[in-house]
Amino acid sequence: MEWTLEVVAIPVTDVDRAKNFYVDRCGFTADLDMSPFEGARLVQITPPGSRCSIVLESGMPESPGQPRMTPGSLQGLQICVTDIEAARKELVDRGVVVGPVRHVGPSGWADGKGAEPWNSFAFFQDPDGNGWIVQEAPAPLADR
Amino acid sequence: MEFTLEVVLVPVTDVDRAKEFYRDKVGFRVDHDTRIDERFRIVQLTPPGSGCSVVIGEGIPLPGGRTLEPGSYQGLQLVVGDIEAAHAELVARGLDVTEPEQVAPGDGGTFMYFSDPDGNGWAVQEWTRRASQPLHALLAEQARERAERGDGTD
Repeated sequence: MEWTLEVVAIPVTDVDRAKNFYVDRCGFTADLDMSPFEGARLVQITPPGSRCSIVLESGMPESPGQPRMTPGSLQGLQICVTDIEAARKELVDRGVVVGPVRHVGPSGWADGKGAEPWNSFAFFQDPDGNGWIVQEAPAPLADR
Repeated sequence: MEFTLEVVLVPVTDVDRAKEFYRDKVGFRVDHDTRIDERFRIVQLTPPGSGCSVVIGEGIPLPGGRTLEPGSYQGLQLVVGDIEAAHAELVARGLDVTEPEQVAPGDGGTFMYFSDPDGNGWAVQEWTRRASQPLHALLAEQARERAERGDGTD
């Protein structure tokens, strides 16, 4: 059977602020914005080309045995692009604060692109501090 | 440009224990287990059929010295086409998973839950129509239908 990882919940304090950030600044697509019941809200957003989405919510019940995450505590969501400099510029032009392009060197993070495929990264955070990594991939997901 | 969400870092205390758990009990495929150097190891696992993977590792550097609390991740969601069969598969492999529960009416409203040994929490959602259509397309279609009915906040 297929078990497709399709949703990652992002813990935020303000759904509207976060939705504006991900849609207007990051350029992601809002798939839905709904109220499943009075007082609850669910927003699903997909980065272009992705087969996995993020969800922002307020007022939804906790899943059994799974406590609510602290807003801003999620680090390490990674999106792939085929041109890290162009992707960084696209984000910066829309007002996202993105760190410089870096690669993993012999003693940790070093400036600039790495010589090897997959070794060029840039980082940004959403308004709550949830951390994203942009990684350069040698080909689009659909071709890999 | 495409920005494809492909990796979620899952914070764990013991990479070997977590790798065994996700591979043997949950049934994820190990794409690679790479030790870059003495302090830095990455294990990438992909749920079958997924376009997004999880990574567990040691010494993964995050910018600004930020760290992740093992077990703090909640809200990773898998989608299956048949939750009863999925439940039986997980139980047969020895996974402690809740009984499927219908929390909302209609397709997409049935869930079950499990946690990894550190406490990172997963949900499994049933979409019977998911077998032939991507989830985001289904959701967009539902949103359009709701908007036409003047329902919800779309």
